[in-house]
Amino acid sequence: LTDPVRHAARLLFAQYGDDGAIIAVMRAAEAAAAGDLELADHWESVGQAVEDIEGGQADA
Amino acid sequence: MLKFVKALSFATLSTVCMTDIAMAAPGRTDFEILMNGRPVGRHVVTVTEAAGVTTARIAIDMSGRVGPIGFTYYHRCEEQWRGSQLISLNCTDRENRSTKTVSGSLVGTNFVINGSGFRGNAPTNILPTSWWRSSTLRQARALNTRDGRLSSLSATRVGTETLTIGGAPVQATHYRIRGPATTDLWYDATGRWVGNAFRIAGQSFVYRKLTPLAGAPRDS
Repeated sequence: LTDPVRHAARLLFAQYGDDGAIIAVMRAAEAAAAGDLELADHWESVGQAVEDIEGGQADA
Repeated sequence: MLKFVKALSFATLSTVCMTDIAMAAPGRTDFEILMNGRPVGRHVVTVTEAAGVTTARIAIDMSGRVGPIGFTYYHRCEEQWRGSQLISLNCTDRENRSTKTVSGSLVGTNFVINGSGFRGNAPTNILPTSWWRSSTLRQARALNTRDGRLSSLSATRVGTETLTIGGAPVQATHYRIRGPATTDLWYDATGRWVGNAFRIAGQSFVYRKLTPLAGAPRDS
């Protein structure tokens, strides 16, 4: 994962907890609707990273 | 793959979306955006023509709630075309509290872009990432209508499929854009945009056409 993805994921998780993942998905969908596929990919990766953070905390 | 166990509750959408197109046949097309079958937004394109200039107005609205958290997305873009050439564009994009803009116009041998994400020149044959014109898919690069960046574009023809629109079968050509994310687009034989779909982290987003096919703008 790239640093911008990790950074965004940490911010989303800190602010919204596991809701951060679905928020990232909605951001990705908004980008895709407007044809910004690079940004859609970024937010999809952020959503996955939030899931990873959540999973890591659950395992801890 | 993301897993979502939380219920999404999406607000009722009150959306006014319009698009105008330059050159192509005028008309209006309204899509409802469905996430896993539930409405989350609208995407409307309205195309008008006057004095040889086609104007396309694009409006995308999405809103809803994730638990206690509300989200809104607002995208408006006006494109002006002379024939198949983009001559100007003005777009505003708001995602909750974040606003991006891009404007551009044909100046001499360049299309001059002033956007939140890019300022500079593009070739005069650049086309925007608004999918209403199927000719966009023939380009290797496209102008991002959120912030002006120039993005690479790679579309492939998947094949001919039959969609159901307004209860009637419609033969459509299916294209797939392979960028960082994948988007599927469908156009009928006369160049009308009839469908859009994408998957984000395993979630299905599908466009459902609301307005009659006969009144849709056409990329001739």
